[in-house]
Amino acid sequence: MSLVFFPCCVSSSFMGDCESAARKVVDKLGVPIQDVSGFNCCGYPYKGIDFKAFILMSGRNLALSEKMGSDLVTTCACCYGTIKQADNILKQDVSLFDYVNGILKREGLAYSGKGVVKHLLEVLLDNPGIPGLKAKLDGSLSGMKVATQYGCKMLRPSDVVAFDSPLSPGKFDELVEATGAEAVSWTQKLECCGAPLIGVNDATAMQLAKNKLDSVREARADLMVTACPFCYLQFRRSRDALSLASEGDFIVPSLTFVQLLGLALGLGETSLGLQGVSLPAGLMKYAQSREVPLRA
Amino acid sequence: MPKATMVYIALLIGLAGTAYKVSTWFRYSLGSKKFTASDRVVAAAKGILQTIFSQRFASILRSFFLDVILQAKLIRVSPLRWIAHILVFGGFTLLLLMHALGVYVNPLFFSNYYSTLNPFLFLRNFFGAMVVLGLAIQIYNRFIRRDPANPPSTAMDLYTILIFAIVIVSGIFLESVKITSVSAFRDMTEEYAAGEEDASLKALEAYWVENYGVVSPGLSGPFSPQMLAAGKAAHKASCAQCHAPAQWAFMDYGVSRLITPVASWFDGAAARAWLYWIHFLICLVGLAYLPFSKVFHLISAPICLMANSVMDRLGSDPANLATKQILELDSCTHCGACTRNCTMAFVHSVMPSQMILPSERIASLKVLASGKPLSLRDSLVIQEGYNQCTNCTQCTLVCPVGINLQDLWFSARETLAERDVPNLLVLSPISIYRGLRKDEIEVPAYAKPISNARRAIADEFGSFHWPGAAYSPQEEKMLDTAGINLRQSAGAACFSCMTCTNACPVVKAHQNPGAALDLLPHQIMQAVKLRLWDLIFGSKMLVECLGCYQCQEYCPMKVPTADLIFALRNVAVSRTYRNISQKALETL
Repeated sequence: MSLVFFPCCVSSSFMGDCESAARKVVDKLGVPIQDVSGFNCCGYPYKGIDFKAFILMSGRNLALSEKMGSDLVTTCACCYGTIKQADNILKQDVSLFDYVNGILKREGLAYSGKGVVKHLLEVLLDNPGIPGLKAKLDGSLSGMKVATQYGCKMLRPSDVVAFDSPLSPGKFDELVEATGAEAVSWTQKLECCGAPLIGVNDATAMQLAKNKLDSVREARADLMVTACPFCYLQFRRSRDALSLASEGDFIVPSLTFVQLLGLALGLGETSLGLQGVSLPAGLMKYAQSREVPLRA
Repeated sequence: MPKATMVYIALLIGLAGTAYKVSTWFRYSLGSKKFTASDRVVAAAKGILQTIFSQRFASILRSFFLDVILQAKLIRVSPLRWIAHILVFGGFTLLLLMHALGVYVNPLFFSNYYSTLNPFLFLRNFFGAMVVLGLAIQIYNRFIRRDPANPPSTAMDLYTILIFAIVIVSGIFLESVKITSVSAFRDMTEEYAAGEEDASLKALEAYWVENYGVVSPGLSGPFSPQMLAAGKAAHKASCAQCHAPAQWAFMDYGVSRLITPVASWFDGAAARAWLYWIHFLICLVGLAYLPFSKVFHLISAPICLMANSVMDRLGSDPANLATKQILELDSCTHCGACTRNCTMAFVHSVMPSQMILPSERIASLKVLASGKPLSLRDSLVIQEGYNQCTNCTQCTLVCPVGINLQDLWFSARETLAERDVPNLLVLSPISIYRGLRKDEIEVPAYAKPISNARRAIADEFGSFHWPGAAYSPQEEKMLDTAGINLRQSAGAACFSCMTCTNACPVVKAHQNPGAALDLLPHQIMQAVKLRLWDLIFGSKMLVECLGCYQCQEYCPMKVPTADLIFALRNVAVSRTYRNISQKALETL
């Protein structure tokens, strides 16, 4: 099945470099994913306020996937979970199915349930797969301790997403370990990053991020790696906003899984959108040995 | 009235209009009202001076050549539109210089300028043909192709194309009538060939009928070679110095061949004068109308492109940013590139508010910027459209005049937030963008829309103590479609084990969650059973649920807890919104 990139509003608005990094990484790994225009927002922001709009938006993207005969590939856990959930609801609810198709018909589209959305993580686990990745990544990030942040919608509701075990997920960890790094266990691994509350209740949003960052530090991780640009955004922002309690205290930096793979593939800081991002010493040292050195 | 006076009047209107428009750049503002007009003039002067004497001037030069002259941004959006723009802009500018202002401009470059001689005769037609071709592409793009992704065309789009088209068509028509006109020919011979004999004049006329397209009532071919030879001799003696072959004016000559059968109608000074006045006056109309039309982008867009090449919202003086936003509003050409690339534009097919389409919002932004009072209803309509924006940046990335649309929407939303119309969408993840730009908003203004929205919902359901008056059938249905018979499953299965509450990260983030959130997740489930709507819809938990699905995942009874909270929030928002709009309509 051919693959097309599904752009995420959050990544293109705030983390535009992440999207271009994803394109570079898949090119380097030899996974053919095309760029197509015409998609709309996945519908995630509307789920709590206009349910039908959310279903319609996801339904349209799935209908486009169906029309092109290609699977949608996203780097965002929220887009992924949202579209999957809408797909699930449309398959059960006849009246919504009719509503969506009635509107899509006007532009010659139809949702019949054949469209597929995949997370890039899922795609890479399939092709090149863990052995293939290991062969391409030469395991040179060894010694690095990484905490994996799946993102809520990668895991839950598990009967809809069905990507990995919702209680002890491991697929993302396997991918990270293919780079030679070690995936550590940490207590807040399954918790929400708090990003959906930014702008609604900033204090709670920040508290949730802090809980997670504290847990990552306690697990002695060098780095947190996320499968969702929302989480990445939240951690990067919190890192700048949180004040350190005492001297010697620190906040573990974060990257997206795409950027981690990019570093392991020898891509430089500019192509990965890492200008101005401070990274742990081990990764710095490793990255500096590459073509383009990283800034401190 | 002498022609010169008319030109001066049109020029005066154009200049006064331009001055007025430029003054609005400093007087109007979206969002912050902190700066007075004079502050902003001073800040702009300072900013311009500082930029000219810094390295950033190189960026301005680069932007001038790439974005303004070569239109690099446009070619990325659409090569076809780029061709059309270059043809119209290039052709019209050259016609302006060489033809309209030719008397002043040409002597600077050429010693022997005659509009009837080459290369001028040919060039004038060539430039005209550029404009014709460009306009044809634009008309095709806008009115014939009817791409559903294009925004609707406005009256101004039509007027603009019409003015350009009339200028060019009347010009071509005037010239082609002149070519066929025998009276024009005879006027000329009286002046320049007065000494010739009648026979010679007749031969000359025959020569012009044969070669120059003149349509003479008395003379028609085929002519004898002798006569043409005599005509050629007279032509060489009296005309050739100033007249290149008419065929060089390929468009005028082509049209003159088409009108040959009716040429005698148009002959005579009156028809030529009419056409001349149409051509002349429509040019003056265009000149006077320029500052009020979208052609004003001729002045504003280059400034906008160059300013944006050196300005950014974090580094630049806020006074200059406010000024730039109004300048940007004047730079919009209503080309529709933003709407074609908008991730939300398709919602327009379900919700027919023009305000959803970014290209259509500019007009309402101008109203907002001018500070005119808006009715509650208008505010709601504008706000509703603006809310359908996920801030994905696509519009800004594709804008050929480099307008930072994303920042315009942000400023506009904040301006609307000041107007006290509850905006329920601040309770959704759409607010993330606003939250990330919190530092740019004053503290009380930041919190106001959030508390307003929450209060609007609480007020709406405040009287719902009595269980009977709960949901309308539509709302019942909405709850059901969110999951399958959510309310029933919540009622039937939940036994208050509190697993949901214990799993909830929002609950865990608070020292005293019961007080901070009003209802905890398991209490919401119980309140649904008891139909305590005022408690549910007034609770903070309802709007602060993250949607992380931990409650639902871990529920031993498989109650779709998170889905139920989302469905309740949907009912809360849609009912409150409906009643706000109803009240707005009643105020009319």
